[in-house]
Amino acid sequence: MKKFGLLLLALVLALGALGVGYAAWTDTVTIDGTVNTGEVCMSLVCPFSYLDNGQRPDGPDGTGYLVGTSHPSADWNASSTGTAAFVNNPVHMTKNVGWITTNCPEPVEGQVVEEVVITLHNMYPCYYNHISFGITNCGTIPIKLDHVTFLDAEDVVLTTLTDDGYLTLDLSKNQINDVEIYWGDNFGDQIEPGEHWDLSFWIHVMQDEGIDFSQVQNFTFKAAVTGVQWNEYPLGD
Amino acid sequence: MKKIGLLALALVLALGALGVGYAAWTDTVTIEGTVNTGTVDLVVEEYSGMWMWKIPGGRPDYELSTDPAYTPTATGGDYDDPFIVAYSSAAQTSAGATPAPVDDSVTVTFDNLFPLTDAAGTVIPWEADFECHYVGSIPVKVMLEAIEIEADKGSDFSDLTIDISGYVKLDGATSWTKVTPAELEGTQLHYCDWVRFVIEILVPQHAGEAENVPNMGQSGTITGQIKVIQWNEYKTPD
Repeated sequence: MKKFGLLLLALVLALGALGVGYAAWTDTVTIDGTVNTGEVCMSLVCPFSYLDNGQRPDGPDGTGYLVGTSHPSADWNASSTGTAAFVNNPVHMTKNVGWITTNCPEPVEGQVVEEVVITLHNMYPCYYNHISFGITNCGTIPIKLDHVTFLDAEDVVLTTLTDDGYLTLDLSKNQINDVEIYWGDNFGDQIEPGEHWDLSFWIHVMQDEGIDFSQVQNFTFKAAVTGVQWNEYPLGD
Repeated sequence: MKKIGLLALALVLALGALGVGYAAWTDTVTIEGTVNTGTVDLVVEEYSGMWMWKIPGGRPDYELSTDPAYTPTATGGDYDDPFIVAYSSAAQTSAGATPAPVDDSVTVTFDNLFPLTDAAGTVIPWEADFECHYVGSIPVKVMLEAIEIEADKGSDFSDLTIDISGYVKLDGATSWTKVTPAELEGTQLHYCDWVRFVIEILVPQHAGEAENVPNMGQSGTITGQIKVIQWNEYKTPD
């Protein structure tokens, strides 16, 4: 009988201890909410436009080679010293020899175009063109143009521009420059979501004596335009 | 007949003796009193956050404020008006209801987040915060329940971090003292103490563009709880 009493006492004490544990007074603040991150997005705007309007001279709808001065398909020529900086203002010629095409897709609402290939056909030393295009801010965060990186066909970085200026490229890899470019001053310009930049660059084919022009030569370069969230411009090293 | 008389007399005496026993003198102590229970009550009283202003053409061209009605002070803007690009804020869940509600529910919003850096270039978190006034009569200790982000379908927040830090004003202090999440857990509050809880989300800044892209355009919901418990029942988390 005495043992039974002790057992009951232990049970009561155990339940009591359990009861105290669950009976603590509390007050709770509940937190609910949402989170979403912004987006830095740039899209090329098609179509591109050119000073030499890109009509092929020998095609079925071509203009022919001899078109006369001031014709929109007539080539432009420039000259240089072989180093950076065009030495003469471009001259409007009388022939339509070189032309440009791009693989710009037909504009589709909401489509992001991240790469456009520009092909310069039937080039020759002195050929000059002024290529214009747009980049739209397709994200939700304002962006600034930070730098433009020029790469070769194997994605090896040739040079990077963080300010307006001239640059020369040795695309034939023979230690002689063969293309000259001037990139205008858009660096640091900002575009709000939904708005766009108008960008352009000049390109000039230089005299590279090392190239065998008796055969068709194809050279490729890439220009990667990098924008950055506006409050982190410039990115620096 | 004489015997009957004696018997009656004896009965009377016996009853009399019994009567003396019942009539003993007594004194009584009366206990009266009141009882009232204490309270455990943490009241959310103030809400705040961070608002990132974009000032087109301004110098500087962005400002960070803790007031959504803030007027940017930068000068030199040459087009467009300042606007809020991104923000993180806390608000009363049932704000605007009539009569004004008293509740313990907070809604936080983190909108259009991107990596944020301070003047030294260090990545800092976005913050949504709210101040609580402890008005209970029983000392309590703070218990930080898990706070987490649940990503919407197709989103991924595994690269972002969410945490709760805070500030306290204890024992009549008039200024805030910053405390880490570890210090905040178990902090004891007495009547009239203040604690400001700060929900922090850190969006990392990676060196490579490809590493940053997965953190863009993500959406999800936040859930969490902060509890205070009578001080003598507090258990240190495992």
